[in-house]
Parts: sequence; structure tokens; C-alpha cells
Amino acid sequence: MIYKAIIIEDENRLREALSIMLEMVAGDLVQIIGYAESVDEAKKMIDRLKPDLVFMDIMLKDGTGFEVLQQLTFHSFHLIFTTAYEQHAVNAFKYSAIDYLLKPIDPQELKMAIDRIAVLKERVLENQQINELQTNLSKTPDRIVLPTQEAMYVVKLEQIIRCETSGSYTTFFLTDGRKIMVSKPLKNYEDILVPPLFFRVHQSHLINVNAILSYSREGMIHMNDKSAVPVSRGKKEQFFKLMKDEL
Amino acid sequence: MHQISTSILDKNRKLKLLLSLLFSFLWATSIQAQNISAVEKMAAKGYAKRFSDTVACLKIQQQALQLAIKNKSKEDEIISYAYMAMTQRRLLHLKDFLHYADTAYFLAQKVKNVRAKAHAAAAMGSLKSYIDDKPQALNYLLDSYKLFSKIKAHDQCAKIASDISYLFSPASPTKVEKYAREALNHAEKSGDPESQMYARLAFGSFLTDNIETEGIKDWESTLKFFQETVSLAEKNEAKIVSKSNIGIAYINLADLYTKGPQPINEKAFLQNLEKATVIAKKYNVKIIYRSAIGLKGFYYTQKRDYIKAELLFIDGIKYQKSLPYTDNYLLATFYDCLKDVSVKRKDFEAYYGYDTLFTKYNQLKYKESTQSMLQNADARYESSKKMERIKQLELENELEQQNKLLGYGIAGVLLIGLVFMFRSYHYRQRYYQNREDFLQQEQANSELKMQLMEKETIENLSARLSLERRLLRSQMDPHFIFNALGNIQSMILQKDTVPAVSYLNKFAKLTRQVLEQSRKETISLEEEINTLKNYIELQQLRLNNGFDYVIECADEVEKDILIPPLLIQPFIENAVEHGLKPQENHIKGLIEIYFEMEEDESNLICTIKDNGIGLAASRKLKINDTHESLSTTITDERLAKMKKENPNAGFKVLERDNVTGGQGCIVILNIPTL
Repeated sequence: MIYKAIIIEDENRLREALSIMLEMVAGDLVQIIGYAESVDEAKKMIDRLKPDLVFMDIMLKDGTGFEVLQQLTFHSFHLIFTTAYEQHAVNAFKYSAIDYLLKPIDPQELKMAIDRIAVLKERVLENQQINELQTNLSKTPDRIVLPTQEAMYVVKLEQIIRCETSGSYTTFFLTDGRKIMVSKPLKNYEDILVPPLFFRVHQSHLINVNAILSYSREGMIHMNDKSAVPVSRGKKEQFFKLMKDEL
Repeated sequence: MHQISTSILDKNRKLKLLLSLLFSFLWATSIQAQNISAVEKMAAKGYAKRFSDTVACLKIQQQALQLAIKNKSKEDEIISYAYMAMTQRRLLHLKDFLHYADTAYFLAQKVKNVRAKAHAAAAMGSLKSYIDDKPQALNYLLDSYKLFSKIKAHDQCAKIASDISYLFSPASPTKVEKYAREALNHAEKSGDPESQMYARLAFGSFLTDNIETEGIKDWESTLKFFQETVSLAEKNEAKIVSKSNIGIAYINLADLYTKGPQPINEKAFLQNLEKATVIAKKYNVKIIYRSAIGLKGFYYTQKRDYIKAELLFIDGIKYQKSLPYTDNYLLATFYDCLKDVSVKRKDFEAYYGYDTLFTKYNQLKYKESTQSMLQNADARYESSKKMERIKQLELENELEQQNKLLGYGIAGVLLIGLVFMFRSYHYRQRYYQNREDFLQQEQANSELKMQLMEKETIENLSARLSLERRLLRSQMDPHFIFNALGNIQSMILQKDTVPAVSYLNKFAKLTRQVLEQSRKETISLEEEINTLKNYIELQQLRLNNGFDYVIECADEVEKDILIPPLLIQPFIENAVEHGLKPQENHIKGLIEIYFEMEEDESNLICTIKDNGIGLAASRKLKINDTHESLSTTITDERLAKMKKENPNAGFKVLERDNVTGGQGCIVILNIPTL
């Protein structure tokens, strides 16, 4: 299928750069059907043209991309935010499992984002996810959205016992025994699942500090779900320091 | 031949070094009976027991003090304290020494009694010399000497003049002689053998120094003088309190033989040392004993009678070890001597053994001095006389300065002289130790000062760096940076090579300007304008030439005036992002920047006008921009800082309305010129 895309961006040149790059990396997958540079224009255009894919800049001429999302009636599209530098927003995207690209856009990342979309089934940007984003923008998030092929799970942070990665997938082990596998590398969560609640003890393991049961001399951490997680040599010192502070 | 004579000279020096360690307690005094209060007599009686019975000594002095307090005699109280101070000196209790000397001197300020004042000044002088503050020591001692002279206390005069004589060595040989002679005169008048011994040792020291510097022409007369001193000591052995002075007389004489015509009178030399040993054993004056051994050992070493020398040193060490008190300093010295002997004997195995022991005691010696340094430090800090301490430090500096002025050119001569500066082994040992402690303490102090300074500098630096970094961030809005890079990327993608290169250049130039200027305190107005232009032109490119700009200067404005860097740019950024960008496309934006001088020509006024949507409309948009708040905060902070010195500094933001003409926003910045 060919994705009909709208680019919302208030700087001409950046808009042009994105369309040229899209042509380059996904010319056979994406067709650009419109541009918008203000909040008003954008929401009218999305509701009217009903795109499959929206590239949304955060800072628009007269407001922000978030305002556009709030005012939409049509939600059935894949959303990719574009941003030059909004650390706060980027974290919120991560918690809400919303795709984003940093400007200047890296063609390879753009291609990966498109590829991810292509794998997913018909996609509805649920109100819930937008609400989630709004919440995460306004306060320190206590929940995280875990998108899987079949559903969007909203999980409380304290429910996560640990995360384990294999390749570009991350599995979340939850307190209720559920395992949720997400097609994102652990690196994606490293910046948001941080101390004091979380700690990355190993290249492939990130744990909830509160779920630690014991630490054995062989360098294994035993979690309260009876699993054992190794601590890498380089992380040991930091880990003990964190434990000390906890005590 | 030359080499041999050099080595003999070396030997001689070493010998002298050891010898000069021998001489005894300079502060031994005896008290004349006339005009002396009962309390002073009591205190002096106690003081006289300082060598033989410390407990009784302290007890009697306490009683004297109690009596003085009971009699409500301030004078006697002062004198008691002064004697107690001197006793503490003998006991090497710096803290108490300091306390009593301070107390005596403090109380003496309030009385008129010459004798009490003289005693207090003597105690202070003694303290200063103990802590190696020569100029202060001389001040106090000269003061005390004057006072004692006034009341014709010849015994005290003899003692203090001797001390003054020692203190003037080696800086002023004439003064050394003058006071040594005066000491002799006073001692003669006092008729007190204790004082006479005291003065004679001082004068003898002067004579010996003279031989050092002027050859041996006076040797015979010096010998005669020393022989007289010895016979005086022998005659009055019982009356002399400081028995060590008797031993010193013998040792001085023995030493003098080594400086006389060669070959030396070995018999007389050994005889005198033997007598010194007898005195040492009789009165348990270990310093005399070990000095005698040291001298003999050196003598045998020089004679290449290494076996005798070695046996002697071993004997000396044995004796030292049999005593309850371990003198690490001495042990180190003796082991050093033994090392020397082993080398001469080419017995390297023995050398190794002695070296190990030497190292051990040498380390212990240093540990002791460190401990004592800490004690001294405590003593000082607890001293109530902080001002005194400050003055003292100043004087030390002064002395250091003077020393520098005196020049290190004659440092070599001074160094040799220094070795003979104090004639008492004990005094000497304390002197060196104190000196070392003092230097270490000084060092510690200066290290502390350095640390403090470093800390301050680091703090200043970090404060400055933090402002610098934040200033940088306020100027180089990441949003602006990445959008600019995005624009360049776009031009490349569109193959607009020429504008891409030009844009890239401008961007690089701006980055460099901001990096450099954010580090400076001030820049010229011209530089600021250049940076602004660069910035505005980049913004123009971003907004597709959606606005124009003008920068104008009033005639009176000189472009080379200095202003704080990068104050204006955040306001331009606001004008672009919040004024012009949200503007309807059909209206061409305009930014006008106008520089003029304030009426009194002290400050620069910068007016920034835009024709954007204005304040009210911008607020309605409520674009949440953390950067904007950051740059405003920093600009506020910077201007607030400047306001302290320049109350007019600051800015105001106005809405353009019908009164001011047009729409948009006006910022008026009042910038201090530096």
C-alpha cells in the first residue's frame, strides 16, 4: 500500500528537505498529499484529507503540534513527530510510544520509521495515546505505553520488574506475570526508565530497583519474580553505590 | 693533597657541628638577693631545681604564685608567671610556656614595677627565641635588658646580654661582641658564678667564632680564657645550678685544642673530654656525655683509628639506649657517624646495617618533629593573643624579606655561621627542631592558604563557567542550531550549493563569535553589532527573507565603546520567534535596532522595535518555550548583576500602540558601558 502523508512544518526549507528525503528512502511507499505550517491549517488539512501518515513539527508558527492533535476529529493515522530540540517532548514521546525524528533528519532513521509503520497493521491513533502524551508532557510520567502488534499496553512504572533485550526487541516482565515484547531496543527506554526507580545493570538488562530480592556473590541479582539478572562488571560500582543510597 | 685538606676541612666542620650541639642551657640563672621579694626568691628557688627535681620545682613555683595572689601583689604574680614560663621552656612544654609567658607579659602591661616588667619581657623574649622569631626575641630581650640594667640586676643582665649576643650571631659580629662583653661586665659585678659561667660561655662563643673567621692568631688568648672558665667552673661546681655549663666549659676547651696548632695536644684534648664525661655521669647530664663521645669519635675517625671510633659510637648508643628516654635525634646522628666510619673502613656490610638503623631513627626523629609540630600548632591556635600572632607573622615575613635582601650570595657564609649560632646542644636541638617545626608549620599554613585560594579560584571559576555556559546556551538556542542545520541540509538536498555554502559560513561564523564572546567580560559595540547582523541574517534565511532589518547608531555613539557581550541577541530572538514568525504571510516583517547614548553619556541605550503580532497576541499563543524563559532569566540575572554597580542598567518591554506608532513590540535596553 502507498501511505498518503501530510507534512506539518513551518519552515519552508525543512519541509522541502523532508519531502526530498522521503522520495529518496521511501518513494514507493509514501506519497505526500499536503503541507501545513500553522495549527489551524494543519487540523483542517488532516480532517479533510484523512492521511495515513502525519509528520508533525512541534513548534509551529502559531502554536504547537500538540494543539493540533487535541483539536482533531480524525485520528486514524500513523504519527511521527519531528523536532529540533525538545528534550522534554522527546521523553514524553518515549513514554507514550510515539515515533519521533530529530532534525536535521537522518535519512536512515526516516527509513526505519517508515519500515516500522509498514510492519504494523492498520493503525488507529487512539485518543488514549494522545491523552497519554498530554499527561506525560505536563507531569512526570508514572506510566508507559508499550505498543505491540496486537495492542497498546499502558503499564504503571512500578508494575515493571525488569526489561530484557534481545536484538531490537525488548521484553517487559511485569508484576502480574505478564511478559510484553516491544519492537524497540532497550536503548529506547534507557533514558526514561532511570534511577532511582530503575537501573541498567547490564547491556541487556534493566531492572526495577524496588524489585530486587538479593544480590549473590557470583554477581547475580535475584528479583522478586524469582528471576536472576547478571550485573556487568562495568556497572557493579555504580550499582552498589545506588544500593547504598537506597539504604 | 688538595683533596685531603678538603676532606679534613669537612671533618672539621662535622666536628664543629657535633660540638656545637653540646652547649647547655642558656637560661640558667642565679638570683641575687638584693631588692628581691620573698615570692621571687621562692620562685627562683623553685626554678633552680628545674634540672634536679622537676616535681619540686613546679610545686615551689605554684606556691610562690599562690603567695603572690594571696598578697595581692601583681608584681610578684608576674614574676611567678615569668619563672613558670621559663620552667616550661626547660620542660619543652610549648603550650604552657606560651600561656605563662603571655600571661606574665599581659599582666606586666598594667604595672609600673620595673623588675616585674623586665621579667615578663625576658620570658616573652625567651618564648620568641624558642619559636625562632629572632626579631621579636631581640625586641623583648633588649627591652628586658634595659629594664634590668636600670635596677642594676647584674645577674639577670649577664644572662640576658648573653642571650642577646647569641641572637645577634651571625648577623652582626660587633653586636655579638658588645653584648658578650657587657654580659661579662655584669657577671663580674654580680659576682655570681652561675652568671659568670653564663657570660663566659657567651664570650667564649664569640672568641671561637673569631678564630673561625680570622684565623688562629687569637687562639692562645682564647685558650687562656677557656682555661680560666674551666677553673672557675671547677672552683664553683657546687654553686652552679646548670651543671651542664661546667661540662660545656670542658668540651669547649677540648674543642679549642682541635682548632689549635697541629698536631693537637691530644693529651689535653682527651683529658678535658674525660672530665666532661665525669661531670656528665655525676649529674646525669646525658647531653654532655654523648657530646664527649661524639667529639672523641670524630677525633679518632680523623686519626683513622676507626676501631676506636666505632667502639665509642657504639658505646654512646648503648648509653643512650640504657636511658628511659630515647633520643632519636642523637641515635640517628651516631648511626650516621658509624656509617661514615664503615665507609672509611670499606666495611660495606656494616655500612648497610648502620644505614638501616640510621634510617629507622631518622624517620622516628621526623615523626617526633611532626608530632611536636602539631602540638605547636595547637598551642598557637589556643593562644589568646591572636593579634600578637598576626604581628609575629608579619614580622616573620619581614624577616624573610630582609633575609632575601641580605642576599643568598652570602648564604654560604651565613650557613656556616648559623651552625655556631647557638652554643647549647640542647638549645640547638630545640632550635633546629623548632625551626623545622616552624618551617613545616609555615608550609602547612601556606599550603592551607593555597588550598583556600585554589578553592576560591575554583569556585569563582565554576561560577564564571556556569554563567558562561548558560550564556552560551541562551545565545545558541539548540532549536535555532538544529533548525539552521536542517536548513543547510535542505539546501544541499535541493542542490542549492551556493546558498548552502553561504549559510554554512554564516552559521560557522556566528558559532565562533558566540563561543568567543561568551567567554569575554566585554566586547566592543562594533563586535556586538557584527554578531547581531550575522544572527539576524541567518534568521532571515530561515524565514525565507520574511523580514528586513536595520541597525542604526546615533552620531554620538562611538563604535569602540565596551559593553557586556551578547545582551541584545535574546531580544532579537524573541522578536523573530514570537513577533514576526506568527505574523500573517502578507505582512513583511521589520526589525529596527537603534543605538544611542544616555543623556549623561554613561550608558548605551539600545531600542529594538519589531512590527510583529505584539505582546498581547503573542501571549495568547502560549507557545511553551523553555529556551525563551532560560534566555530571559539569564539576561535578567546579568542585568541585575550590572544594576548593583549601575542602577540604570535594565530593560523594559513595551507594546507598540497608537501612541508609539504601529504594532508590535519595543524593547528598550539600558546597557552599562565599561
